[in-house]
Amino acid sequence: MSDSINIEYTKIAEIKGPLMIVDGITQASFDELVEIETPDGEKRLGRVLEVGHGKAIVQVFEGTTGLAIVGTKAKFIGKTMQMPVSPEVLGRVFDGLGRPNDGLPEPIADKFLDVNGEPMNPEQREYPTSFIQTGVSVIDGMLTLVRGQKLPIFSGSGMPHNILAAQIARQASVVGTKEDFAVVFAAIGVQYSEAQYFKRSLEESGALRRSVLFLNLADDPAIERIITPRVALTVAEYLAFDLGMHVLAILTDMTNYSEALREISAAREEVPGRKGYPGYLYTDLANIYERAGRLKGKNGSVTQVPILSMPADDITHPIPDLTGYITEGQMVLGRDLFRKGIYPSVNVLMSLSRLMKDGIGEGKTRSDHSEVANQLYDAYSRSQEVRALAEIVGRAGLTGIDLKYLDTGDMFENNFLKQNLDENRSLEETLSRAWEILSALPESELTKIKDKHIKQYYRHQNQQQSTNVGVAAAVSSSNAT
Amino acid sequence: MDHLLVRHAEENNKLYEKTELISYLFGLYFILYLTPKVKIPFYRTFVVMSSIVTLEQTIDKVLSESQIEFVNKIDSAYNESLNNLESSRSNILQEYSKIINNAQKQSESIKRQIIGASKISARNKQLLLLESAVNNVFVKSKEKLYVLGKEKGYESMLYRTLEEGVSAIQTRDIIIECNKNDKNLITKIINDFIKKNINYKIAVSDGFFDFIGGIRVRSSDGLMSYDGTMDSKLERVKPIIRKNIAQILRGEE
Amino acid sequence: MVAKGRIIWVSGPAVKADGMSTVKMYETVEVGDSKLVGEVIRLTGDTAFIQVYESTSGLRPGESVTGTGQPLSVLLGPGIIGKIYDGIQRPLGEIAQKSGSYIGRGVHTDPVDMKKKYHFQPLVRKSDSVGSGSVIGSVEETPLLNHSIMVPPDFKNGTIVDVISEGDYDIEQVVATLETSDGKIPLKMYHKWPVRKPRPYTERYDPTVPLITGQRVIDTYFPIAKGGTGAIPGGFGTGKTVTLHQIAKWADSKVVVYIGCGERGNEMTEVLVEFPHLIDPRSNRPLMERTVLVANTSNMPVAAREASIYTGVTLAEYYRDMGLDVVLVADSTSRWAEALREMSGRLEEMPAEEGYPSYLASRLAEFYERAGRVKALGSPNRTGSVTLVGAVSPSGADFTEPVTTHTIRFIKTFWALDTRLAYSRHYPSINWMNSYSGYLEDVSKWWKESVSSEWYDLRAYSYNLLQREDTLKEIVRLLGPESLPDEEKLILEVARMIKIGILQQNSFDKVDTYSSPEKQLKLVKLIVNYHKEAQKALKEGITLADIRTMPIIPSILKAKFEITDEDIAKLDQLDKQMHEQFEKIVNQGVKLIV
Ligand SMILES: Nc1ncnc2c1ncn2[C@@H]1O[C@H](COP(=O)(O)OP(=O)(O)OP(=O)(O)O)[C@@H](O)[C@H]1O
Ligand SMILES: [Mg+2]
Repeated sequence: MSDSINIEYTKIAEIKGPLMIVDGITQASFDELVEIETPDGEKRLGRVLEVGHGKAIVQVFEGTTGLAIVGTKAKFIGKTMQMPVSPEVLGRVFDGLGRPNDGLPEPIADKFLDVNGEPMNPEQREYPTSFIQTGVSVIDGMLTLVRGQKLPIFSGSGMPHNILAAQIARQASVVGTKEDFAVVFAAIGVQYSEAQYFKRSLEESGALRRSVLFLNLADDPAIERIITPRVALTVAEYLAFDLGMHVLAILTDMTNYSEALREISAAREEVPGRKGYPGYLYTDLANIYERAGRLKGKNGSVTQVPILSMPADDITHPIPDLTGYITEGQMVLGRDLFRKGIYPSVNVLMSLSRLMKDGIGEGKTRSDHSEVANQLYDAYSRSQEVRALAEIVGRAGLTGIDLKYLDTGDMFENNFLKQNLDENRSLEETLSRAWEILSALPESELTKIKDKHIKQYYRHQNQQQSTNVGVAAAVSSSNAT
Repeated sequence: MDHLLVRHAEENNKLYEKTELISYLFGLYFILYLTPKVKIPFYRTFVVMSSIVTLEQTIDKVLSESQIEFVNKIDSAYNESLNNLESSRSNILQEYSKIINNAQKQSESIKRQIIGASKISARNKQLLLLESAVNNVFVKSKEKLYVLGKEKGYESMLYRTLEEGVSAIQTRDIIIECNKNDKNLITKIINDFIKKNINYKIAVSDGFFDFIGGIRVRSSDGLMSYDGTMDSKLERVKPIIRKNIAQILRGEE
Repeated sequence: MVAKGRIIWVSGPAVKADGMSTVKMYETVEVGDSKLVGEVIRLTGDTAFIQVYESTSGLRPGESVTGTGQPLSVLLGPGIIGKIYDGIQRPLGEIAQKSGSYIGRGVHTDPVDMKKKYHFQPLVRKSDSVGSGSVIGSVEETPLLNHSIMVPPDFKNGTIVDVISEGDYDIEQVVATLETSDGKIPLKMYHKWPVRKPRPYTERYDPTVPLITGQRVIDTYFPIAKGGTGAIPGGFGTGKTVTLHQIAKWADSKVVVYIGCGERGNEMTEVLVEFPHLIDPRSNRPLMERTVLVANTSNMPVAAREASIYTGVTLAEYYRDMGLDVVLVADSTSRWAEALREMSGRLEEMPAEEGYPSYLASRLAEFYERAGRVKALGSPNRTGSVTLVGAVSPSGADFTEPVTTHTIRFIKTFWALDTRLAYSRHYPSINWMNSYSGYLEDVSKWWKESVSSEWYDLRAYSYNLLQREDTLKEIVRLLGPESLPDEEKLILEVARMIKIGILQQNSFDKVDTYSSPEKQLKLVKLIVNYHKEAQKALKEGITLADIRTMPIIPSILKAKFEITDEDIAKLDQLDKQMHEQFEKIVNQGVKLIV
């Protein structure tokens, strides 16, 4: 492919949407990078989506506004898009295509890496099993994150997903204050203020110099968003597998990414799948999300926390739906909890961490951890059922045990789920809070917990009760006198 | 009394089996259900309606329950006041340590922030310095190339570039662009080329181009061009040269 | 004649080449300078439409395309078991040795180790006449598996004119020579077979033996038979993969083929990491010694996803032909259907529902038709089976989408996963009202003979309770639980016990992960007995509250993980204790009343 470098074409056959069709092509390859010069001399970048029969379909990242049939030049530069990497990318800010955005020069590259990455050989993966303590009870206790996992946040407009992601980034980095922790943040079509919040949060925790930021903001070109997560993950992979760092990659907002993809698909007049998204959205998203994990013989890891906003809070919308089919679980923020003022408003029942089972337990967290989590899920789920029932039949229509569950639900939301923005709970505290809630239920309800753990951790109410009885006796005796 | 209970239980059972009564029971149940404070499960409705004895029992039970409740209330009030007393003391202590804690947390975070920021800005200054040094080297080497880069190998290099360009754009009607100094050399090379490759129409452009050296091969219709200038070649190897220069400047080599 | 053409067009995994007039449909071709593997899927004039099984990034018009003369085939012979392959049978372990952590392009390696020596035991003698498919010898492939060396099914009947003596040979060794009407043909320990062509057999039998998976809701309520078909549809996170892993781990089959089709890389890694350490309860050997993996993860080239299903099922049929029971699990057939859709879109075919090609249904039917319990070709007499279980990932968990609706037409066991159950952590979230098994009657004979004559009735009794609960729940939803008579409240209670004590099964618990048929039966019996006793007690005038709070209940509910298969007698004790406790409360209660 190297001999096709530096051929410039000026015969533009068609411009539509984000696409430009170049004619009279003698040498061009699929996926090749294209340098475009507008009639005004402005430089842009593009990529070949399809080539053949003397034509090449080029996707223009910065959009086609200002391009013309006459006077536009397209230079095919003979390689796919690459990102220069070196340890100096840490502490830097780039734009959505990976170009410096902080007034500093382009990094002096150790290597140039293809932004598309290559599929990891599953045989070479190391199965992720090491627990990341985030200090957030609901995550550590019930949705444990492990190194190399991809665990998205499904949110809705206006909900505090960025605040939660920032808290995870801050607190997860505090535990391993060692130099081997890094944060890669990719803003994909988000508002300036959101990106700024994240940056400030990293700054305040002193983690900025171990972070790399890629910013494609809401008013930046939409098609650029196709590249933003890719350059970010290229850097993440480099930090993890070349430099041995534990990288937390936060991609926000994947909904904007998918919309950019839809725009291109529509311009290519492809047969649309659900809601107009292309049929290959699953595969395309998988090519991003699967760039997480650990590798045999390498020290580092890439942990992904993609964020996406569910249009109209609908989890069956293609973007959250396909994401859920690819990622290793999801943290779903609930509108009801959010309205109640509970932070983090994680709807645990809809949420899941699939790699949790291997990251917890004896020797990693605590031997009762998984049983406690299972029982908490069960209890909260029962409490929600009862809550719904109580709305119809009233409290009086409920049995005694139902009422207990009802209270358990409230306790769970207020004493376990709810937490401050700067509150960093230890795992012991998280589990202790969990047992406090479970102990409000009769022992016989704890059907998911082994007897030995009940013996060890269950707090019998009778202690409290006996003191109460004592006081009551004292009161009644004083009444008598 | 006991046998009465048994009988009622039996009656109760029998009635269940009679489905035609169910709607009746529902009716009763709803009446009672709607009556404030008398929220009785529907199967008990019948017991209440059918027997005064049971009613009395229920009243007894309600009374005794409210007694317990009463005691409990006193109990909890007492507890609360005790707790209040206790907690107001501990509250003060808590508040106090909270303030201290917060201040500590804040100073920690400010410390981290300052250290982090100063490390970054020091590094960034270094990057900028390095970059300007690299650029300096670049500008100087460009100047040198312009003056003395064109020795023996240059001619054959130009010839190869011409061949590459012609094959890349796949036309026979071609215009060559070069800088002023190279014009004569290029004309010679084109003649050489045409001798070996028949059916080509190659002209040298009249325009001025200020690149260091090399040529640009353009189809005469202007639709395609091949960039074989030294400038573009330099641009392509720039990242590698930058790395080398940086290493030398940093004393890594 | 081998076709040689040039690329004229590239778009993702789809490539067009001209000058290909001699290439055959479904022939594999080498594409471009780096010799990527592709397959011809349409021919128009001398233009071939090719799906490429590797990334086409950097490919350009003008590069060459060369035919191989062969359809897409797999190599069948010893050395397959324990391997992890990509969708076109390239061994990922060996690829890693060549290209490192990432899957490189244009890497060519043999599917099995051609140099490894196996101890060959001839099973025919000179001048024996053998038919196609007949066994001529055997080697020990793994300590768990005797691998029969067979005459390839597409060879003619003939006579053995030469056979090698017992000894250690690599698989390239000619072990016998067969003389047929076509002349003398050397037989090696392996042969090749085109993946899209089902391997022939002599006769098909009805599936009547259950595939025991150790999963209670499957074996007891919705069983699948050896040689049968099943589908497991469900939204994301409902438990398809975990269930398939469970089947791969515990099913009482001889060979397991696990196809990861367009799913997560880590899930394949998990199998690779876990299976070598898991011990097969029947043979006490590591499970990896009977397992082969075909992995085409979601980020690997999409065209190879389509091929992976065929590759897997061909491997399964090969082991079936040895007279073995083989289970194939495919996770997920929806990704395979999506690969079909993507290629169809690039071919600009007229789409049917939701962009899927109109031949989706027939492709699904063809796949599930390759299941079955059969009499193998040739001698000696062998009966083997291929059981096919496919996960389906309906978009938006909507079972009315095309892949689910078409799959339902071709399978007999349907395990419907329910997002609501998964949300409430009822795992496996198989919905007992929407699932069904077409093999229930067929396998009941086996249960009767091998486990207990009570099985059918106990199953029916307990299932009936679940059904009644389902209708009662509607009433509760409107009026609250207190609106029901005690007898019906009891049904709710017992149904809850069935759900917790039997249907819910934690795959990650050491004990709960597998229940033997005997244990399953005893657990069902325990709860059915509880219901019968409780009904009696109610009649005796004991209050429901007393029955509900019997101290035995938590023990019943935890029996599934507190009592191991070895201690199965403890379940009988528990049953006894339960009867005693009932006796006690009934006696006390009656005393109180009288
Ligand atoms: N039998 C089970 N026991 C315990 N946990 C289970 C069981 N089945 C499922 N789970 C839980 O549900 C999670 C999701 O299951 P699984 O990965 O099988 O879903 P899936 O249906 O394959 O989803 P996807 O379509 O996204 O691949 C598991 O990680 C596990 O936590
Ligand atoms: Mg799955």
